[in-house]
Amino acid sequence: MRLTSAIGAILSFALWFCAGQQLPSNQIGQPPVTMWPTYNGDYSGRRFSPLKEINASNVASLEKVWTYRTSNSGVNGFAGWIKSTPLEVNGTLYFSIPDNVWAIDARTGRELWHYKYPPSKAIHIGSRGVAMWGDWLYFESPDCNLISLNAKDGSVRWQKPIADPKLEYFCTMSPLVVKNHLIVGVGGDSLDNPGYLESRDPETGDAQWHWNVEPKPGEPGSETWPDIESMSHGGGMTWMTGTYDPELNLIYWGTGNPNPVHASAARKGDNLWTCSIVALSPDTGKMAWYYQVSPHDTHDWDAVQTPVLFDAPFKGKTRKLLAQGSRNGYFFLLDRATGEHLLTAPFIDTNWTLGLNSKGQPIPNPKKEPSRDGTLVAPSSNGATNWFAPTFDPESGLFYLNASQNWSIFYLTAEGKAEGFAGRDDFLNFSGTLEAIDYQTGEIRWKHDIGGMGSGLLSTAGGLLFDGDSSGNLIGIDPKTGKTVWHTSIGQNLTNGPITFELDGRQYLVVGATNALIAFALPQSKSGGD
Amino acid sequence: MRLTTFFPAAVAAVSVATAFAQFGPTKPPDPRVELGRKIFVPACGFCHGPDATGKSAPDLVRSSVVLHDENGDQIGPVVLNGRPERGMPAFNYTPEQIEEIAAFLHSRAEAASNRFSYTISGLLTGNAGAGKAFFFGEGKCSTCHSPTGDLEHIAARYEPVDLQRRLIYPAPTFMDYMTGKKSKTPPPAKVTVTLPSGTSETGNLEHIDEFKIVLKDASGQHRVIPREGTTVTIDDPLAAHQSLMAHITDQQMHDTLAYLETLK
Repeated sequence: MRLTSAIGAILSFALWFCAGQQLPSNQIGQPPVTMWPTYNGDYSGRRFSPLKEINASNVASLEKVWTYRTSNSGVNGFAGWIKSTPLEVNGTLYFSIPDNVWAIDARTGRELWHYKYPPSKAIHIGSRGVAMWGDWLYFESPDCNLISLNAKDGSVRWQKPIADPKLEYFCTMSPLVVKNHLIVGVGGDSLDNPGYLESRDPETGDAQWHWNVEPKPGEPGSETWPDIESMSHGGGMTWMTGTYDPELNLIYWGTGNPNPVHASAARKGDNLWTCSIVALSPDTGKMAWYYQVSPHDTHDWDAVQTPVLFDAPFKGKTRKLLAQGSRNGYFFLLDRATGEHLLTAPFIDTNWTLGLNSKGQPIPNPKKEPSRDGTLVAPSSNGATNWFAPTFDPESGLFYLNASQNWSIFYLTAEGKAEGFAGRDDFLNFSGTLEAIDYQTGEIRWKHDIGGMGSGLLSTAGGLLFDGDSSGNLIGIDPKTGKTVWHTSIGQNLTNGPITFELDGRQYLVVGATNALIAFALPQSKSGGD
Repeated sequence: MRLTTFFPAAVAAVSVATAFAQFGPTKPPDPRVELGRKIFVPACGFCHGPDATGKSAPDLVRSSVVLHDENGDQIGPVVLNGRPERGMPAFNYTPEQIEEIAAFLHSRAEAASNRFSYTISGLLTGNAGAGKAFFFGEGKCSTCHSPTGDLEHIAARYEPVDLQRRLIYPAPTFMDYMTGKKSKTPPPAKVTVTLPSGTSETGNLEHIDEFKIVLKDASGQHRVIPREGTTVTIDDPLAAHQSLMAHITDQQMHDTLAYLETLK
């Protein structure tokens, strides 16, 4: 009796001790059920929820539970739209727009606190969200400060600069917590800055390691640049959140496109490690392997799209896979342990390549580079897809992304030395199509017109795929067939990635649409239980 | 259904335009910029290049000193003291002159980093004769257009860059908003909606998505029709342009522009 009560006391103490920590870092990797603790829900980037309470048979009963509208943010228009994927931890949602972080009650939508960062001259274009570790949140301000906030009240613990906004860096990404590392990336393609990825100490914000997207003179990869001047101004921003495999202990990140953006002649060569999927050690930043999806890009097509991780059969054998639907219009499948190339397939009709080389990389056609008199290219600089989150549904075995068949005319404008963008393109059209790609063959299994690209995707074990169209509708789609099974008009277009989580046995679906966060759930009488 | 409605494109364009308002068309120039240029080019251009992009001395456009400078507070000391160890002499300029040099250098950085201020030129490389042959031949433009009819004086109405875009797809777009231009909207598509009852509604197509059609009927009334169970046919005057986008070659595009440029 005394032994069990002693054990009981120890367990109670342990629970009390752990309860003080809102989000132990070892919970971040679990498939998202009661929490959505990181940008993509878990480390895989699949944005697939195991929750089944909301499913194809009852989705038509979904009702709006609450709406939260942002106000007093100081950021208007496009930059102030909710592009962040909220985190949900212990019944609180945390989300951001540039210069602003909110905590709201996930069950009621009631605001708990609102943190405002002083406005700056840095480019304000969007914020993908915050990261959480223990009791702390982490936020990148547009002018590239890394700020740690107390999750309970939004008070500032510390702030540390991660890039110099005077050099035209600006920051938007949602950092990734991996064990005791906070992985932060930077943005800023206006003035040819070098890109990099850093690991910071989540307790202090101090740097742990720094990985450069451009090599230093003499380092491997430097042979893909013509000279030191171009290599040290080569761009390659790391402005989206990557993924992580805890067993292999590798983080996977997509890097941005090279600078000067549209000027080919200024930087002849493949320009490593821009436009690449890289596998790094989260502990040291050492690169294990790389695969460049756009050698010598000249169209502003970065490769920062989510490197989605899943284990699944390929040519009869189960393998550790990595898939990316890339901005340049191609779908890539790699072995994530070794970087071995497995498959490349276009997911729109592109016109800029001379085919694929033996490594499956698109060979850029020099005749389709930007030119003084204009070059017609598909896709436009916006890309065949962009930052909008893809999803992989292990039950259908399909990879889904919001894609666009679009064209623009690319112009080279630089006179003398090329700097900055050195050109721009003139868009011809906008379009949007949700596509389901069979990762084993690259075949597009089905397409579903959504009018324009503007939001990310979510798939669930309830047999549902959620997307937004460009007419203000939230749509539930059968992942196997692409048919719409439910929709509701929310009045504004979806602007972020939908998330889902379960609290008190009730499953919530939360979406962001311009300046509103909206929660849906089944009516209480139908919800809960088995 | 490949038709893209114009409305969401316009909304997207305007919305993104407000985000990029911090770029936008160039503001009226600060007079100190030109004064600064007049000092810079003869005094500094020999080493730094007349446009400050560097020669034997560093590129100042992407220079950290210049980018951190406010009104000459960082640039001033470098100019006044020189960098003797690197061969730059000292220059004995007044505070006003230093502000002017600083204004010029800031304008160079702004010009490089603001892509909506770049000038697109040098478009007229095509062959007008080949363009005319395409217009009346393979391009099938003459099916709907006439150089003495709707396209009379077209080259006087649009700059070459806009004419080149519009000859492929004639609709206002993002770049018009960013550069402050007005661009003609295309004529509306005609839509016929056959309802489950068998009756039809026709009109100008205002909006279509998966769930509804919005049309303006002959009396000018807007009708919102739920899409379920209907059959929809659309007669889009831009259908041929949609196809052209996917098939026209760069050479044909340049040649047709050269031909249209003769229609002043």
